[in-house]
Amino acid sequence: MKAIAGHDISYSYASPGSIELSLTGVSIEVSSGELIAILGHNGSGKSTLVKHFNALLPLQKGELAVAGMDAKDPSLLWELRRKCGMVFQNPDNQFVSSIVDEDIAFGLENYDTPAERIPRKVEEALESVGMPGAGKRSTHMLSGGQKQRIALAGVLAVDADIIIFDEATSMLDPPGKREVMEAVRRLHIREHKTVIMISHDMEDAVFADRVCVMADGKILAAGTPREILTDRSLLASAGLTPPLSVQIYYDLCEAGVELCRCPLTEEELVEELCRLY
Amino acid sequence: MPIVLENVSFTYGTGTPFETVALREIDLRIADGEFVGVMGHTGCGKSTLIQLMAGLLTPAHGKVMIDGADINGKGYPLANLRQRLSIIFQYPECQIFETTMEKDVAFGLKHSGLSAPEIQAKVCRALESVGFSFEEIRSLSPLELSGGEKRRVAIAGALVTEPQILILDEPVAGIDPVGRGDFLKLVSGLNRNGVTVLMVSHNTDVLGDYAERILVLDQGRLIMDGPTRSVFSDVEKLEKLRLGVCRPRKIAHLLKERGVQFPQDIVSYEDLLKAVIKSRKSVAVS
Repeated sequence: MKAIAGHDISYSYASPGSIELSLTGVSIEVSSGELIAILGHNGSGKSTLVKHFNALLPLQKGELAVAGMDAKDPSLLWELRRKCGMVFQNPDNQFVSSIVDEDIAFGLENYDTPAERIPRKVEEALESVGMPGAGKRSTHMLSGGQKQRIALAGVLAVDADIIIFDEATSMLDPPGKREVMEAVRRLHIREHKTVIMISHDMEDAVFADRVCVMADGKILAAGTPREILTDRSLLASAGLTPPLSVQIYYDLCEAGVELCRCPLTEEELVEELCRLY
Repeated sequence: MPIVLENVSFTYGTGTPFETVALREIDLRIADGEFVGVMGHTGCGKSTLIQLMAGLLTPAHGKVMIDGADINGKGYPLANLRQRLSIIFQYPECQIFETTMEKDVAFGLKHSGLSAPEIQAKVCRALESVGFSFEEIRSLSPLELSGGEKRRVAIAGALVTEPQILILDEPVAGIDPVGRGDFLKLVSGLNRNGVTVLMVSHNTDVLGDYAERILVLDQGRLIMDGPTRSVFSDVEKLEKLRLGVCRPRKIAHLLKERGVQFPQDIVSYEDLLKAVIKSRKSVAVS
């Protein structure tokens, strides 16, 4: 079963004379357990698309099944949202409680989880994000990376299988970003969660199974990180820039310095540069 | 309008159980036209520092002087300062409050005494400088813009008064790579024309490419202050602080660790590129 099967999805924010912010006939499939990165310029439709996946936006046109559930069926709405959770950009905007365990329990309570099972579920979720025992901490005393991991724990506590990160690391400092990315990779590898990650950081996309590029409400291309991130003209046409390692590979080529292969990560770049000497 | 901080300290919640010293004994002088980067962890005092510079907070001790005058002195015209000093906060989209983009950007000029056509011309220029078509965007509501687009509008609102000092708190987070490049070019263009820029950022690559001087704050203290090249030369210290250095510098450092003779005075992407090409040529010759 596909985690996401979307066909010909279109969406308009419907106000006369507006800048086009809609999706135009987007089809996308995400396999169960896949880590997919969605890249695109501001206003390209990334957030609009993923907001369909947990029914924050109603389907106006097209077909969408999330974990096998029809997104148009109102009776499945709650179950769909339980299976597919979202972590947003601003860590402070997604807390409902000032105590960590109460915040994580909020979703469980809404899904009518028996009270005696809640503490165990909360602790398991905290362990999954690498913050065991943090339940009694105050949410506003946490660092940005910790806040995002608590938001993630809230999604995990209700047994979500599909997790969407909408630029969830863009406001974090480097250690915070590292913490969250490690938690994401751990969930993906160990717990086989499906991860859909919107990011402006090309370096994040390097670790995805598949990269999807959006522009002007459409999917422009999809492929492996290597196929997409080394394609300069594709990235340029989508309003994106390649990762540093790829950029320098091409700039060196133009200056007559050829590396054996195009590096994707910093480590590969150092490797390739070492070969020059 | 040089910015001078003399022995500035600031404490939140004085006299309460939550008393926290945010800044300790900061001495600092920023000359006209400098491009200064500010680094440090969440909670290190960066935001407190910029709010003190804008007169949004009053120091517990010490003085904040702009253009030679104590901005917290009696009778100091703070309103004038705010025409000449703009801050773009961390979530610029939260700074938008008007119903249309034109009105929002024009707000800063409302009491400037300019005529309506003059204001419109300035608003148009500010919106175009952040990459919008004025005619397309002017009557839109903020609800019709994406997150990144709202950020760019908010930035236009801060630029419209043509400030001499521009303070940016993590300005490029959440803006796409091309938008980011355009925005940074815009800021460095303003800086070349004499605008003092103070940019708080976790993005060491951006600071490496653009800032000529870096301040590093740690637990309320100014622990490093110097030209970008010399601050970033201490890779170990910055790694230990978990701040890191810009990637070009890091790559040069990694090459050195691998035993490659490689210049270490690298901070920007251009530096790295030139260094590889140059050292490659010398290898070819020998």
